Amino acid sequence: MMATSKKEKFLAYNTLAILLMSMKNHILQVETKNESTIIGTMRDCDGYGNLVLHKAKLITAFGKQVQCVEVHVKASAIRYVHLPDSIDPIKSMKTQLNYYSRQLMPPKYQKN
Amino acid sequence: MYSVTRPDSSIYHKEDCCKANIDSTEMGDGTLYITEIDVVWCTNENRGFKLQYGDIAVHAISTDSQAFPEECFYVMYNRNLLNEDESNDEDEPSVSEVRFIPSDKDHLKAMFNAMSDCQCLHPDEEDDSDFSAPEDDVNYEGGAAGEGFYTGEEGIEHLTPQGLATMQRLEAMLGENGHGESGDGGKLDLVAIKRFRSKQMYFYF
Repeated sequence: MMATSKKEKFLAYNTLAILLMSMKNHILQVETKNESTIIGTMRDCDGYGNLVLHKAKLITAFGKQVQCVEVHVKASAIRYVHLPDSIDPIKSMKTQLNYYSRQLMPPKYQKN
Repeated sequence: MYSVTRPDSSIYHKEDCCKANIDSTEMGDGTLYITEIDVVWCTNENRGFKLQYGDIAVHAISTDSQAFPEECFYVMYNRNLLNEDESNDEDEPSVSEVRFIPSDKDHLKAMFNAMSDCQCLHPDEEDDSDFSAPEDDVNYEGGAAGEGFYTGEEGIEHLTPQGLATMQRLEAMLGENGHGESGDGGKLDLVAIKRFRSKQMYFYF
């Protein structure tokens, strides 16, 4: 679903998008710049930081709640992402970087 | 609502019999077009509205019957669509909730995927980017583990003049030695060029 361009790869390796990518299947709380909050299970994140959350609850600035099956949040719309307390950010980022670089290698060079 | 032209190309998804609703205001029945350039919804009288990807903050499939009686495709838009003429100062964040209600609910997933794909085509411009290099082109080949690895024709356009000169010299060398192919528009199959920020070049055979 998410295209992998050179710019996206660069951003994945050099920004905190990699931390978001490591949060797959965790429940995240996202605060957007337009004062909305979205709480859901993170399913996908690309190098830009665009998020896809499943089974999410969207709470608008006016307090209205909307239950959603699937939500796509644009990276530029995100103000904060609340991470689960249980995770170790540094460890998660290192694991994700290894995983990501293996995914990007041409198949014949992948060890597994 | 205003006059819109129906898109005729780069359409990722077209949904006929699709109602639209902006901030709980019914807009009627019409056709939704999710294209590479923008999102267009219009009635049979060719009146409707357009959404720009840059202003679409969130899109979702909503099945919440309390928020809205029908399953719908929800879009959170960073502009006040109903009161376009109001000269709202840009400091105050204005949000519109746009809902598209297709008659066939099975198409919601396809609409979501189409919009997600088109959002990928419109990545955000970083205003205060730390990565804006002094050069005109940001060097996306550098960084922690950035790979500027090219094989074949695609790599040519990424070469600097210095890189191009070096490539031509190498190809001449390879041609002399009888293996590889000398340049005919640049076959890079035997040469991988990796460029670091310090502008040094390393060559792998």
